[in-house]
Amino acid sequence: MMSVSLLLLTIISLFGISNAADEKSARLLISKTILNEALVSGKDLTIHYEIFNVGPSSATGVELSDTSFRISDYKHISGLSKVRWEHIGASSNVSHTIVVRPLSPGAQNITSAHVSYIAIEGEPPVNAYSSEPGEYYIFPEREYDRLHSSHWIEWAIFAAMTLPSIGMPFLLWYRSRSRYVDQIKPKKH
Amino acid sequence: MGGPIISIIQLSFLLIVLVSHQTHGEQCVSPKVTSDIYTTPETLLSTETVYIVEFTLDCSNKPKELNLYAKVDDSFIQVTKSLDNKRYQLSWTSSHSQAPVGLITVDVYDGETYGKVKQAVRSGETSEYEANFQLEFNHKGVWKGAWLKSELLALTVVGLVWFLAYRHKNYICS
Repeated sequence: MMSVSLLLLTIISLFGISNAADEKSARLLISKTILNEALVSGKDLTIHYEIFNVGPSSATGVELSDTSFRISDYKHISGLSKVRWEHIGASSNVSHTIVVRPLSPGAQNITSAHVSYIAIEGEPPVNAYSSEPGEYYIFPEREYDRLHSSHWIEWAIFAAMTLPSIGMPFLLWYRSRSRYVDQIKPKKH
Repeated sequence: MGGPIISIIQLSFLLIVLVSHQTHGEQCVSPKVTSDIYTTPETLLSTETVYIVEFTLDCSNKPKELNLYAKVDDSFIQVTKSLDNKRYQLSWTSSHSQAPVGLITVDVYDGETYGKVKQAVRSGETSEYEANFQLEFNHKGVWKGAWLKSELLALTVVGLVWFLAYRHKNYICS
């Protein structure tokens, strides 16, 4: 009887302890978004991370690591891919941004970043993953230029090409007109 | 008689100093900064203007762990660190229309100064604490696209040439 009640008591108290532990645990939600309107090979790609602590207590030793942009496919332009925040308070957030450059066009699947943090003091770190941006099509640079760059050089070439077909008749007319005008003017006087 | 009492006072003072150092991190004495800057160049490549400052900090007291806080737009942002504690990154975003352009100066506080600033804010004091160092860089602004499209200019030139020819033809034929 005594041992059963003792067992029940320990079970209930453990349940209570684990509940208390959940109440004191930090919980991080991570969003990973692409800020580009268009992804173009050879042009900058901006990735933004936001980490929200929705738990009631602080998260410590927060480490964000993003290995989804391989050196073979992307060139790192700015920003660190593996970073650490010592402390993210309850109901607060932090953000991080990196810039990479895709090296070749085509479809790419952009996957999640990994975050590890200590949710409860003294316990081992917890793993979490960011949202996944998903599949994107990286446009070849020529296609992007055709749509968006200013085409001054192309227009200059066009002008140079049309100049003979407009210039030649104009020159002929002008030469004959100037001779005609020269004949009229002396007659008047 | 006074010996143990004095040592207790000294010990408690030391503890207070140690605890205050631990709450927000150590301090950096005579900081030297080398930084790499990136700011968004074009609106098509990013829907918001992004500022990234990657820097290394050389402190004469060589602290093991240093937490830095930067003051951006009247609020404090935590500066992230690389996993080997050697490089720091400060990054923030702003909408294109509200993003500051030109020379931008950011005040950076080490853990100790930040703690003091927060304490002052909490107790309602208005005493200003100086930043430990500043990050300065230039943002050229975002390129929103050419203000004069080449197609428009080409069309104008063609229109002008045609108009002159038409007018002269009418003058000849009249």
